[in-house]
Amino acid sequence: MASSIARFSMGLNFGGLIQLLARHLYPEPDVFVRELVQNAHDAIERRLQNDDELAGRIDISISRNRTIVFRDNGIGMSEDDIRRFLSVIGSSGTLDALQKMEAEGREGAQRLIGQFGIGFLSAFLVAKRVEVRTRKAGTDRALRWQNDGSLDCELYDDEMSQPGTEVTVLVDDNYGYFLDERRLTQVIMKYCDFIPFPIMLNGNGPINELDIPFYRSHWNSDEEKVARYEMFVRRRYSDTPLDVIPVDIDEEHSARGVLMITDRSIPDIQTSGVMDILIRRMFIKPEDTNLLPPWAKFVRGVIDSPSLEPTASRDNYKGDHPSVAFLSRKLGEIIVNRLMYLSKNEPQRFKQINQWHHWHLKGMACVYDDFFKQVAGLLLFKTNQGLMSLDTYLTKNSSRPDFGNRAPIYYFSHSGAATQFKRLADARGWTVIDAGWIFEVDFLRKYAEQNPATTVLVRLDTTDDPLMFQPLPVSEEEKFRGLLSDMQGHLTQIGLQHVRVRMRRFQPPEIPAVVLGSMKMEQEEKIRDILRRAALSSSVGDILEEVLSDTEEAPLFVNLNADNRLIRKLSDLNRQTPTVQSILTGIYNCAMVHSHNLLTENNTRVMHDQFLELLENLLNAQESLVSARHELEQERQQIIQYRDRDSAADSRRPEHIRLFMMAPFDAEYMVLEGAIREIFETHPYYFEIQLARDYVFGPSLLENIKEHIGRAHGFIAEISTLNANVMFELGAVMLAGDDRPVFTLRSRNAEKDVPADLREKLRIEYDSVKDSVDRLVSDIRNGLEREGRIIHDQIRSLLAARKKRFLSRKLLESTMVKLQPAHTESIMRHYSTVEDFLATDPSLVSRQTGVPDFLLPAIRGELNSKTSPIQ
Amino acid sequence: MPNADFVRFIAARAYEQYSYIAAELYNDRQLQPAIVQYRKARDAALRCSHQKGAQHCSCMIGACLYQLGRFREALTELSPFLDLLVKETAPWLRYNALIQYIEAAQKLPVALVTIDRAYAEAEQLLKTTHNTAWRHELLVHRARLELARGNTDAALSTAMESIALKRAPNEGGYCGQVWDYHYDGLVDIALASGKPEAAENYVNQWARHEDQMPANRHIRRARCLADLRCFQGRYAEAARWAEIAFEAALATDYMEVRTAAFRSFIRVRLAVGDLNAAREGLVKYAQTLRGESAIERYAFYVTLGSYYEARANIIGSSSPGQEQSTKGAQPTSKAPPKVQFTLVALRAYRKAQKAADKVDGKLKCNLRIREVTVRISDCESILPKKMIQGA
Repeated sequence: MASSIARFSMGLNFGGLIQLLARHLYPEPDVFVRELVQNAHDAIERRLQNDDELAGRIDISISRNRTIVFRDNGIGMSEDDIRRFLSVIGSSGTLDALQKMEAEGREGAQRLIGQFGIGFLSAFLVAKRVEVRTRKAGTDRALRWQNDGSLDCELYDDEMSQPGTEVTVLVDDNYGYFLDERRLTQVIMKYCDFIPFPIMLNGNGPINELDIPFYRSHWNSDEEKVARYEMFVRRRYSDTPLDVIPVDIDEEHSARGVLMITDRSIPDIQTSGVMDILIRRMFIKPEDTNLLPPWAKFVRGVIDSPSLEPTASRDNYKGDHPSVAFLSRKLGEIIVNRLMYLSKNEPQRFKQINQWHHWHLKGMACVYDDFFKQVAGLLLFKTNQGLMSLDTYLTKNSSRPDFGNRAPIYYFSHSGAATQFKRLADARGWTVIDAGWIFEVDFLRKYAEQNPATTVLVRLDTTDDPLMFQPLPVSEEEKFRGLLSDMQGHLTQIGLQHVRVRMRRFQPPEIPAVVLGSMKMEQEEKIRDILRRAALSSSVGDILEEVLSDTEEAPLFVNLNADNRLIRKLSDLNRQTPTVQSILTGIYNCAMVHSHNLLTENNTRVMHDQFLELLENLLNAQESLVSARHELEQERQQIIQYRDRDSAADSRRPEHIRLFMMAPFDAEYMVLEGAIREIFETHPYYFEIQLARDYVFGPSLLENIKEHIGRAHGFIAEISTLNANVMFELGAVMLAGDDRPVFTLRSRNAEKDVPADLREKLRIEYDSVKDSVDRLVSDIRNGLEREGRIIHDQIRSLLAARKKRFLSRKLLESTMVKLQPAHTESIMRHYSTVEDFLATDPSLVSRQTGVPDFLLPAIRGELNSKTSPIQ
Repeated sequence: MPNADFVRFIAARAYEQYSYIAAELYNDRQLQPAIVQYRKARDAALRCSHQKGAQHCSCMIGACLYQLGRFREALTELSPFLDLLVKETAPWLRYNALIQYIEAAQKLPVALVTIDRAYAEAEQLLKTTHNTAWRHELLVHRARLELARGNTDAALSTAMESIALKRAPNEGGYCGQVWDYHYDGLVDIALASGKPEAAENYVNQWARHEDQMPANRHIRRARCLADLRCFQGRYAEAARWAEIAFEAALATDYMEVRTAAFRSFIRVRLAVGDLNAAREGLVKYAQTLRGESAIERYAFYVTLGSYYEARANIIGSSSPGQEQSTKGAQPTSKAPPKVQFTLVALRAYRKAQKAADKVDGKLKCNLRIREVTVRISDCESILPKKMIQGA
């Protein structure tokens, strides 16, 4: 072995080393505030060991000459302390004191923070020069130490009125922003909020939180404790706490602090719960993500644990220390216990937390078995009976023999089907879970997998569960076979080839049809889920996309309800009409609306087209209705018109009875006309016989006839030869359809048969038109009278309706007074009835008619005697 | 309450046992029961935090599903291995999953451009993970793709390159497809190229290679020999090999192997005029078939059409008494039996044509369309016009 040729010490660039250490040890320059305040805190704590009446205080001030001064009234340092600890890097006065205190079993040891003896070094992160003035408690000697970051430091005697230490940092030009009071305040609050002594900045303050709830050991009441914790959390964090959980762990490792369940939305599953970490009141690490259990993403808080071991830089704790795993587990227990407590004692708050963080709670439970075990029964699910936990849920449904007497967990996996399945479940008295939120189906599956002996999962939206959808007996199914086949055919025809129609019976009967998916659809859903969630390369993603798009649409099942009234009606109808086929589509569409998660592009198109068709049908129906109404209105108007005309005709009818006689115009019928007048215009009838030619009311023949018909009380028609004009007029009379009597005259020699409708009319027969008037009168009168009595009801009713007697030519000519034809005409023109004539003053009659007045009494007398009432 | 370590210990034991049973079942190509056991093994692996074990099980479940012809389920199962966000997936697992994706994509098939991109991704993966020795598996599938497109020359050269790589000593610990898979592909390619001597040569080479998982070897080999002998016109031997392949295929769940054996059996039986046996084979074939793969659908309908065409031909050339000797559905309408059977054959070919349109459209070739068009026009030349329109 070769001997050394020289032996010497390594050189040391102290200034460079200090900068190097400081800069690599501490990630942020602002930690110098934390380190100097912590030194001040430890100095006060140490002095308190001997002077328990001391009011500890830390003053920080910014002066104009670019210095920041940290002043405390702690124990101070002697020259020996300065030489041993302040001037030697890595030598800690606090550690030395702590070891002594622990050895002596003194209580305050655990409150001391420093232990490495390097915190003071951090001042050189920002300082050009550091000056320390100090006077040790119990001595009068004050000292001043200064160092500009080099190996050399200087020590002077000094004057100080009170014990304590004053550190003056001359801030480097690069860190001038620390001289800003607001900035310095933020730094102090960030690192030193939990220091138990008031920290004054430029004489103002205290700027730190002195009353930290988790350091308090006594509370006057639980309410005070809760209020204080809540106030603390609200002051510290911007988000509102849904719940505040005090932490007080005092076992092999200890910790105090507070957790809160935040209302802050947590964007994705990769995030973590965060904690601010303190060790002996000194802030170590903000927003730590390791100490909370990984599932506690919805939690944040602050914890002070003397058990954690800080790293030398004191910006973190040592992760491999046993206290970390212990505290993580304990914090998990505390959160779960709190959730359990809330579920039992504060259900409203628990519900709120569930709603706010539902997918984190359930998602985390799916991932972390330990969390799942603790909360599986507690987390809330939406059901048809409101939010409820699985523990409560399992008390609701009775176990089913077909599932080995296990309790069914009914669920559906799409909230889009909620209305449908809630109604179905309500009707059966089942409780069903809406597992449409993310992780809920996974959660339920995990639950069922872990409790296979007691529970069984029943997915209702893909299961044709025979208890919910009862199959029909064969005989009954036969009854609906036609409907099934027609509906299947119709749906296929409109482009829904993937739909399969089945007949079932289910509750409530108001629902005609239910749409259910299939296992194949579930497979497609899985692929869609992968495409949505996983980060696949484009080629792999394209394969899946193409597989999905090439897949024939998974079958969709439509269960028709045999108990539904509409379905029953449809089974009895002719289903080939467009309207009924539209109803078949409508039933399918209704079911789809009830379960709209199943709506595909094709379904939507069918639904859209059917709605349009339905709207068009509705519009057509509306048009038909309007048109029918219009027609009805026209008809009504016509009826009114007819009635008006009839009543107008009534008003045109005279008070005497007028019979309209319809006879051929041939001259041979003149005798018959005379016979009729002979009979009806005289005793006992005094009716007026009027023929179409007697008066002309209008230019047209038709108008004329109409007017005659309207003005007559009854009709006499000669139908022996079925003369066209007569038959036409008779037709018009009969079409009027009123109850005015129609008499027919017919020769016994008539050859042509009478139309059937006329046979029932009163028919008066005579031998021949060529007979004499007397013969005709005799024949016709025999048809009307027997032994001087009128035998026919319709004639009698006409007589009963007669108010006045017609003053006819026959009547006037039959009087004893032989009137000149001009006088007869004149009387008839002025007086149509006997009653009118008799009621008029004879002198007036004479003036009006020109009949000599001496004739009038005779005429009147004769008319009086001739017109005596009929028997 | 048992402590956590004890639970983990029990779970680890359970994983070992289940995965052992599952592997045995898989090697024996009893795929359905293998899936059940792999699922149990995976649960146990997760309980004892054995992530690699769980991944292995998932991968094997994916392989089983693929072999059963349940391609969509296979893809679902394998997707986690291809999730780019999951960093801890071993390269061989990712490669294996990607290979099975490609296999499924070829079987369905998806568009050629998509398949090509997946191949490119696999090549890239091998490069970046420095596992280019595993490339033989990629090539063997590529050769099959070329064969499926009718590019026999490209198929042959790719298959040769693949087998050369497979023979190379450094495989990087990745076994890939067994020799059987390489050789039966080579025999198919040689026969498709019309080179029976080359096929004979491959069959002989094949006998010299031992595989670790020989479960389906004799099925594949017997099937290849049946096809070869049939090609050579040595029908008696072909029938014997086809019978062996058929019987053995009944015992495997591997759909591809099974259907290939059934097709060979039917083809040979039709060639020798044994329609009853062919019909039995057809029934088994129909029971096996899953409709996910258009390539499989095409092959089935062509086989079905061939069967009915053969029946029509036999009836056309036989006396009425002989017609009744064949079992199975008899024509029911008043049309002559030959016409009736030709009509059924035409319908089968039309269905094959539909599948052919899809497959050839996706793979950018016209192999199947050409074949089925000829068959359809043969049928149509026999049938009356009215019947053709109504078919």
